[in-house]
Amino acid sequence: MPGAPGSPLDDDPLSSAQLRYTVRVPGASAAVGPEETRPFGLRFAQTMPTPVTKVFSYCHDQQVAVDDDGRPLIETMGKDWKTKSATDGDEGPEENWGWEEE
Amino acid sequence: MTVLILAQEADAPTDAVVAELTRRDVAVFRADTSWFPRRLVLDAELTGGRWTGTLATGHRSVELGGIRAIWYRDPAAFAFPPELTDVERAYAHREARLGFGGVLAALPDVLWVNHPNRAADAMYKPLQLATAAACGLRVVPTLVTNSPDAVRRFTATLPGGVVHKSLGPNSITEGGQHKVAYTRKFTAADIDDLRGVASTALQAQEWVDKGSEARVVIVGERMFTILITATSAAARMDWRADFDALTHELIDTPPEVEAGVRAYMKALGLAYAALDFGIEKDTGQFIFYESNSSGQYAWLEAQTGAPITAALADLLAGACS
Repeated sequence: MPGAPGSPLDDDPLSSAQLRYTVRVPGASAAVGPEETRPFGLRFAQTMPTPVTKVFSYCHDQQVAVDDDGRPLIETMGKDWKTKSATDGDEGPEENWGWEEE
Repeated sequence: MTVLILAQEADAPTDAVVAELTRRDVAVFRADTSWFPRRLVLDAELTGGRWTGTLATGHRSVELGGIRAIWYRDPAAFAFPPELTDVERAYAHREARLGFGGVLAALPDVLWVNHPNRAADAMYKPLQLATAAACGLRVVPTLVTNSPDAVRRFTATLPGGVVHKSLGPNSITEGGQHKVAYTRKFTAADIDDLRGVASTALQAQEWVDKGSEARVVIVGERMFTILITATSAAARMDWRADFDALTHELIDTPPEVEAGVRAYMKALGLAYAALDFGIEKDTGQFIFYESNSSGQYAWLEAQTGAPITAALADLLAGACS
């Protein structure tokens, strides 16, 4: 059954352009489905820690993320990747503000 | 002349590029598509066969005719007023995609990094593999199927092992838990129980007996090849599974790989991509796995000093000069 119009599962089933939207609307369900029909590729999915994004605000003047004092995070955060996460698993670690504070 | 950057608000690599362009006195207009329509206003008029007007926030605006480069760095989905019904939201989404996206698509003389439609086409991994092979890059036998019998046949012909890997984003949320389906080798027990193969398409691929892997980041004509060496069993299977067990080294791109990668980028119409390779232990040959047209790079820059941020700024600023 097709998804509702406008949903990530709507028309144009063979277009990868639609997938670019679903990347930003990750699927979520309350429980695992029956083993008989669970896609094989998900059988061994591993539970990962949910990444924590540092609290920030966006500075429209500088057009970058800033801390509470208005300083750009790229000036106050080290590019250490200890806290990097990989929630999309396919693109390398995410590079939001998960860097270690210096 | 202005660089338009479409990216999410919390994105360190974008901040770094904005800072670099600002340091060079290059005009930048950064926005997230999630700001449309409530915090981002499009006012575009077709005059004399060209779209003119502005894109504006409450803080700045840009003349559409002055946009020379667009960095489409994985922005978020349009966000509409919560009062909209599902039907209204679906309609609004289509109109925004076709109106907002359509005006940007119609701007002449603009360098896209990358054009969203080229990037969307390039998401098809079967297309990636066939294109890579046509461009002279080495690939390994690969199966895409929903037939358990086909999986048994394919794995039986490859005694060195076969992995299965997702064709697209491999993360889900179930029962409040975040889960990732990493690349994994088929076991004998798996072959005896292939339930779920028939539920959808599955990609299986010959295991590459690799010594290291490499991510090749291409920015316009620039190319940065970073050797990634795993030191744990999980990372050797899929380096994304254990980032702490990796070492990185910036290396020269082998000439035959460089030629193939340039042909690949041209064939798919991409200005930026991150291509992943396995490097065969015995031969040292690069085996193409996949490409990501929004692939991450900043952690590689931090680890190796590869000047990828500067290269992106060069590319975007170059379109404005």
